[in-house]
This record gives sequence, structure tokens and C-alpha cells, in this order.
Amino acid sequence: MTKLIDTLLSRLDRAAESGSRAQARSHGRRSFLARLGGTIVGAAVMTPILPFDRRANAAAGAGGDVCAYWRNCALDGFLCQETGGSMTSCPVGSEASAVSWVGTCHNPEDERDYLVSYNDCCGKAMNTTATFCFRSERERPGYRMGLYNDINWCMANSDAQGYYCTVAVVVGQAT
Amino acid sequence: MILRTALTVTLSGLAAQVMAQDVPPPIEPETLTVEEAIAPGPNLFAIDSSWSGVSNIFIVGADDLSMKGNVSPGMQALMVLNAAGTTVFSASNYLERIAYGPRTSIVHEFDVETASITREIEIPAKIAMVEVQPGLMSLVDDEKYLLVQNATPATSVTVVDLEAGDVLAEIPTPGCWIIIPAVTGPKFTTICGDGTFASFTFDADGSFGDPAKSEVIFDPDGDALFTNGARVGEMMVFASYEGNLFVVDDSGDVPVLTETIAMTDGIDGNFAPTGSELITYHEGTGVLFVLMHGDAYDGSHKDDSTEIWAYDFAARELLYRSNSNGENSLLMAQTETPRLYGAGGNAIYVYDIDPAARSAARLVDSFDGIGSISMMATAE
Repeated sequence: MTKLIDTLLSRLDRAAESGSRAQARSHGRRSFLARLGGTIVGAAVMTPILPFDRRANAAAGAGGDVCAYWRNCALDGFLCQETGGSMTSCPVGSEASAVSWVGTCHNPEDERDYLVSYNDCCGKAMNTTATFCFRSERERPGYRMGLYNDINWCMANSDAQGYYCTVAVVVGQAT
Repeated sequence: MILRTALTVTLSGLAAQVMAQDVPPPIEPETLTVEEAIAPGPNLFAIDSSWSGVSNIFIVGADDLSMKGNVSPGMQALMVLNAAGTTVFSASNYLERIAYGPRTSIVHEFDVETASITREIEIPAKIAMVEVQPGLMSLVDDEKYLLVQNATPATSVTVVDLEAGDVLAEIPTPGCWIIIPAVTGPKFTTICGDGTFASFTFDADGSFGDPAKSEVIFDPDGDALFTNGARVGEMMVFASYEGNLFVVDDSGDVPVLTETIAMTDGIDGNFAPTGSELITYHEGTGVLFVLMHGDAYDGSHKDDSTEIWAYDFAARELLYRSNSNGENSLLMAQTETPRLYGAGGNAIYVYDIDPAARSAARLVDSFDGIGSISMMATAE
């Protein structure tokens, strides 16, 4: 039982650490979009909650910092889930990007690493009331284009190339 | 009673006289004009590149940050300034319906003195839709050619012949990113995802050969390079995520790594470079300035800077660590007394550098609220 509590507290510490780190980030290459009105990562107040109440943290890190959620580890953009979409779906009437960048994120719940496809959703005006996340774990410059989160991934769409928001879709387990 | 009446009349007359003297003459009808030129003096160019509409290249006084004017390219605007500081080029995108619709990509040539468009050149609609950086657009071969980074996401470089005012070539650069203009000749070097550098040369007729690939220079997985480096003579100096400086000679046929310098050795606090235009060099004093942050971890390479490090390149010595203001972009003016500009958090900062005090940076001015400035340029 003690070990279980230690594990849970350890997870909470990691999430809290991630959240506090996140508060330092405000100047991403795409984070200039956030000055239009969105809430930048880490701006949420860190409110302690019980670590084993998973429902409260279904898609958020500690204290409700949605950007600290594990699968957002390299996400740089507005969250589609706050614009009528979800973590894995673009908002209605928009178009998913034909290409994407990929993060490798560690899920503390099952201690596995997952490949996460960050697709931009395209073709509409940005919803600047949505949270803007900016994390860059294992992110690399454009010479590793598939890991690069500074670029508009709507670039390859045939018609809808305007950046709208970003989703985080698990595409497999990292090996 | 008579005396009272006389006094009243006298005072009323005096008051009327005073009022008449206080009322200024009416404003004459004015004539609307348009300023013919920006205010004189050296300039600093600061770009606020938009992803949802028109971008903004501000022209401010290099000495006092006074606002002189601006020019207005389209979305995801890139920028490069000619050496004389008289012409600024921008490449940007126009979606026909702003959020969607066919894309047109345009190179604008702006005259600085009149802050006006002098030329438009349409180029392939492949410009990298990315936040502006110096390495995404360059002038080479005595400014005969303009180079623009493409990403579809396949990477290539569009070559614009500025004398002809037309596209000369599109050079594929698969797996490579950024344009490092050669000091002389129609040539550029780029950084590749396999850890090599590759140099490309082209001819006046638009033909080009295979790239000249270097040996492996860096480890993109273990110690990735930031892509915006500093020109130090015939060398380029790049900072790495782990705090090393990679010195690359791009003057020969094939790029060569000449030295790797461990900049953070012996420094407590797990400091590492951070930002985008994070390294700049002052030729007169031979000092590099690098944006740094402490408590670095995987993913913190774009966090706000906390310090500006002054590094004597010739002596390979860390001279001074000054506090920064969270900037992610630096630009050194090549003035006799070094003047350093920083940008971040919707502000521009100006630092005086004191060579007699180990190149310590002292904040002397700022322009708050100018916009989300990602890159600056000056001919100073």
C-alpha cells in the first residue's frame, strides 16, 4: 500500500513539475499566435487534486493544466478540443492536415511510450479563446521535419491551408 | 450706486479685452499630405509575422527605437535586408480566402527610405509556412540572387534572379533545412537530418549539380543543432541543445567541422542555449552572445531565456553572464561600441555592451508592446 501511494505521489510530482516548467514557456515559434487571445500553456492555476481521481484528470495534467497531459508532450498550438473538436477530431467544418509532426510521449498511467501524431486542423480562423499549448519534448528543427513543431502543418492541404487548431492522436506504441 | 455701476462697466470692459486677447485665431484649413520619406538615421527592422493576415515589418530608429514606419507583406512573411540597409525583401503567402483558397507566394522588394513596394515577384507557392528566421531567406553572390526556403513538407530552395526579376531555379534539398549564404559566389549550405551539412552551388543559367556533403558533424538525436548560427569570418558557429558550439567552415567545396567547444563546462545550474536567433557575433570585439536558460531539460530548448552569455571566441573563454528579459532572438549591431538588440514577449530590448567590463550587457532602452517580434535586422 505504501508503495502504491509512493507511486501515485511520484506521478503527481512529475505532473506538477511538468506544469511548473510549462509556466516558463511563452515564446514558441508558433506561440505568437497565442497573443491573439488564447491562454498559453501553464497559465492555469495549479490546484492540488487527489492523484488517484483519474476521472478528474482524464485529459489533463495536475491541477487541470491541460497542456501538461502526457500526450501533449510536443504539442505547439491551440487545442481543438476547446473549439468543438476533441483530442482526436478536428472541429466540425474544418479539414484535417494531410501531414503531421510526431511526438514520442510517455504515458505515466501504463509506463509506456507512445507515438503521437499532431495534426493541425485547417481552413478556419483560429479560436483564440482556446488554450494554447507549447511543449517541445524530443522536438527537432526542420532538418528532422517529421519532428518539427514550428511549421504550419496545413501546408500540404490542397485548399485549406489556414491554421486553425491542433489535435494529438495516438498512432502506436513507440518501440 | 453710481460708483458701483461705473466699476461694473469698467471691469466688464476689461474682462472682454482679456478674453479677446486669450482667444487664438481660427485654425486655417489644412492640406492632407503623405510623408515622403522616413526619418533619417540608422534603422532597426523588426518583423511581426502573421499566420492569419497581413504581416508587419516595423522600421524603428536603431539609436532610440522611435517608430519611423512599416511595410506590410502577407502571411508567414520572411525577411532579409540588403547590406546597405536600403532595401528589405520579404517572401510571404496569400491564401485567396485568407483561411483557405489557392495560395499565391510573392517576393516583395521594399524601398526603405519611402517604406514602399518597388517590386513584386511571384515565386512557386511552396514557401515554408513557418515562423520567420534569418536562415529561411538569404541574399548571395553580391546580392544578385535571393534564396527562399520551401517546405511542402519536402524541402527545396527557390532561387530568384534579382536582376531578371524572375525565378531562376528550384533546388531540391531533401532532408535538409535552412539556408546559410556563402560569403562569396552563388552558393549556400544547409543542415541535414543525418547530421551532415551540404553545400549547393548554382550557375547563372539556373543549373546546379549534386550537393557537396560533409562528414557527419553533429548528432541530431543526442545533441541537436539550433539552425540559426552566427557568421564569424569564413566560419559559421552554431549552438547545440546541450550547450556546445560547433564551428563549421563553409568556404571550401565541402563543409568541414573545425572545432567543437563545450561552452557550459564547469558552469553550475544545467545551463543550455535557448531560443531561435539565439547567437550573434560582434566582429570588432570578437565576442559571441548567446541566449541561455538554466535547469535545462528535454524540450526546454525554446523556453524563455534567463541570461545572455558573452563568449570570447578567440580566447575560447566565457566572459560574462548578464540577465536577459526572456528574449528568444538576439541581433548584434556592428557598431564600434557594441549594441545588442533582443526580442521577445512583444518587446524589443536594447543593451549597451561594455568591452571594458568583460562585455557585460546593460539594458538601456526597450519598446514594449511593439508586437510579437521574431526576427530583427540592421545594416548597422
